[in-house]
Amino acid sequence: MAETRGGVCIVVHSHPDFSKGGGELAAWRQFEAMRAAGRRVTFVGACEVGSLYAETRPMETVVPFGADEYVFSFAGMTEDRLAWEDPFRRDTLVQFLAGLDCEVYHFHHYWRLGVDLIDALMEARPDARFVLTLHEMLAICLHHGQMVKTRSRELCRRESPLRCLACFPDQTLERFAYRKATLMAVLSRFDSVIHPSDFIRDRYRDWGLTTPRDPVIENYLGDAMLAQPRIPGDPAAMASRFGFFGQPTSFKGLDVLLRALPMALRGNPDIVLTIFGAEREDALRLFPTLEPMIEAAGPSLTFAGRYDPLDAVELMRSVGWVVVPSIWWENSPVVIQEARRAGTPLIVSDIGGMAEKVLRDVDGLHFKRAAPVDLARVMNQAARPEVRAALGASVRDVMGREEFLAALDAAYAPRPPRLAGAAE
Amino acid sequence: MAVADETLQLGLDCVAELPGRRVLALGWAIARAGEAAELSVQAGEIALPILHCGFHPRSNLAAGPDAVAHGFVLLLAEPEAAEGNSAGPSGPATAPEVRLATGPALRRSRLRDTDLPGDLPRALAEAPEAAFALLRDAGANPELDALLQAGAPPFGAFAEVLARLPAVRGRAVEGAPPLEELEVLTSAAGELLVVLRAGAPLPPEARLEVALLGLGGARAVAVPLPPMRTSLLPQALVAYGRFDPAWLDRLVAMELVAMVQPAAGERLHLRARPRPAATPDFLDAICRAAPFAEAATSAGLAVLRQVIAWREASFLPTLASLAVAPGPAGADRLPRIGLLLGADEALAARLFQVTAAEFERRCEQLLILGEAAEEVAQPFLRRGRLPVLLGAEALAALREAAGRAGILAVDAAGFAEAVGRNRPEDAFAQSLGAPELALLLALHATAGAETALADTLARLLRQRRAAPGTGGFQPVQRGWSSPHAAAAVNEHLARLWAAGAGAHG
Repeated sequence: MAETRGGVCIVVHSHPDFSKGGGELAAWRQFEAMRAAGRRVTFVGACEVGSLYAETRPMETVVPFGADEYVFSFAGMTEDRLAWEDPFRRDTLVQFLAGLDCEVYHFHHYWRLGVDLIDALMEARPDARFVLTLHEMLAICLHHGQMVKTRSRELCRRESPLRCLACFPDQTLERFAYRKATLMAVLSRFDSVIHPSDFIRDRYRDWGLTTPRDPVIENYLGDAMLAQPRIPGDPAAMASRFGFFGQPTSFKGLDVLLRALPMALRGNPDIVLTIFGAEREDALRLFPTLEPMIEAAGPSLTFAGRYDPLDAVELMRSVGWVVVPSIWWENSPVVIQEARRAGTPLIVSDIGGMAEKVLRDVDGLHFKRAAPVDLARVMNQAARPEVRAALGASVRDVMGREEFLAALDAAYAPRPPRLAGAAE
Repeated sequence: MAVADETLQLGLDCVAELPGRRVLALGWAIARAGEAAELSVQAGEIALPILHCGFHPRSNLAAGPDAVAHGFVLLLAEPEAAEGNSAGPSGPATAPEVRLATGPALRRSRLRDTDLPGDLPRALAEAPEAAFALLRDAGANPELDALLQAGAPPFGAFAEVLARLPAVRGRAVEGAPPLEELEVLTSAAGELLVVLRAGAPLPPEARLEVALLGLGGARAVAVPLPPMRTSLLPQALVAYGRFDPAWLDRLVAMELVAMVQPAAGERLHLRARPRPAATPDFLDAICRAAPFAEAATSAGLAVLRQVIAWREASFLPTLASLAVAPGPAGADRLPRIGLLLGADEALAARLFQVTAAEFERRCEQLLILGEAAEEVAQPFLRRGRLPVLLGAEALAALREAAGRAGILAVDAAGFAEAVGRNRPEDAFAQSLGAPELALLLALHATAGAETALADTLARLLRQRRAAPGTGGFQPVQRGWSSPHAAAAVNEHLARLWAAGAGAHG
């Protein structure tokens, strides 16, 4: 596939200098990789700090932030950040974007960008091609895009107005219909929609989204991480070391892991667990009832606090297993990519993007989602050196830069002209 | 209180000068019962033209056992020669006087008596029976409508009396037992239903009369109202009548003034705001009883059936004619009018922001109806590529287009559903030709199940799509006063819809 000749504008829901979520990091790493490959690329990211400032004081909507980098204020958007209340500010941003010398607009996410902005830009630049990377399922699910039921925390497998009403009884069927239609009307107009996993692609297809192209392209981990050597650890030493990486939100399943730990310790007292990304207080704030388990774990449990994402791969090499116990589906967790890059096998919940990205008995092991007993069983299994040795040898690396750029070029390519009467 | 000790008496309470050389006289007369009495106005031998003469009861006037007492209102045109007792071309003018004659007996009262009050608003406030009679008659007599135009807006000469009348909030009538509720409903077909409910049986002398005022501009107007058909139920009075539905487009609100006689010799006047109602709600009100009152099922149903019979006599031929009326030649080439119905949710504005082009491509004008029409219109107005009309203006445009131009009807929720399925074009498949638009409006006015036009459209389209033998009227589900009322109204609606279905059956 020939590389895109014209410029590419990457429009993102946040600049990673202000927020380091998976989506914005993936967008930023794409920007760096394209720039390093000599592509013409511009990065335009939302800026929360600037938006808060702009709520009360005059400020330019778009501010240069580096070479080919801009940040913008999303002050003037609706509370759910899916549309603009202030059409003037929206149109200011549209005019800026439309004036950029590019032939492809690649959006990462639509939250904090606004589907009305995308629509207006499509109208202003009918000559350009539009590409979207979907990082989560916000269009499908009002519950933060988690597809987890609000009351029972059960998994939701399919959107429908009545199912959504069960989660949000204060809403109306009409409001769900308007929300879906608004998002569908814009998302379906993209030339390509990139999904970082088969799982999320299937969910959007089930939801009804059809676009001319909807490839699965894994998020790129970045040149810096790709450059790091992949050094296999000593299975005997690493087998009983487990690590959790990430912020302890209610969907990440840290509580499941902390409940599993005492049970796993009964089977193997050598097991140690390190929580990267949270302090003990952070965990107790979210799960106060887990204090007895944390106390009981004693020196087998360590809270390592926040870490720099750039250090993730190195930190993952310090543990024998990376545990991803999320109770929601996940899409394409960057933690899994980082672990695979590090050569550290994983233990993951057996659902969604986790089950897809961690092939059982190749990249790691699966346990029954939200089941501490099963997680404890799998941790005891994993703590055997021969299991760690086998999976440490088979865990796959992540996508390389050339493969990633080629996949992007295919997504950016002009759509072939359709023959008259031919089906889409 | 005036005391009459003779059988022929005449008195004036107020004589007011009005613009346009008009004079309004309020007075009273007592005459022997059973004898013809004649009221006239004379200036010497010249009879002054009486533009309006109305009589009303005078509860504060005691007549003898063989006499009857009435209040009266006279509207006179004052001739040039009679003005100010000045000399006219035919000689010296004589002061005009009101005369009451029975045979040779005659009573006179000077119209220009300097002691007579001339403050009409105050005089009407002190004589609500006279004021009510004038309001009731004003709809049919433009000369009386002028009384609303003189004095403080919006009610002119009636400002004081209306301010003093108890206003019914909601339906509850307070402080007038046994009366409990006054419900006033209008239909889109120009029907007026007034139901006065009591907590105890009403006597045969119970009466109910109404006058209807319209509020649109700065001044109220009297809405012409043919005589109402009033029925007495055991514990209710029901009055049904019709006015020109075109008033509904011209007015922002209506004001009803009711004269209620709950028993012989007792009268009170009430004000109430009519509430627009869909046909089922409108008709079921006939059978509803006051809270804790005994439901008069059979009597209420009899009145309901009578009203239904009147409606069908009037509406069935109209609907049948619309069902078979051919559209004007070349209707398809007329500008396409988009009709966006059911715009009730402000969130919908977001959807139309990103889909406005779909409408701009297909329509040359867009009419938006619904509770959130203002918000929904904003994206179209901001883009400025499609003329947009809302609310009453949209309805007026729709009526104007009926029978003349086709419309592209889009139900907002249905559009969302189609876009959600990624098939927005499906929502634009509901085009109505000119005759169908006229039929839609007529069906909505006479047989609409909901106040929202979207429901009537959905029913019409369902009927149009239905296979032969299917697509009958879907009964209206609501909190009916009784299953019998539900059956009567649903059967009635089904007959009206069937009449309208002739063109598509």
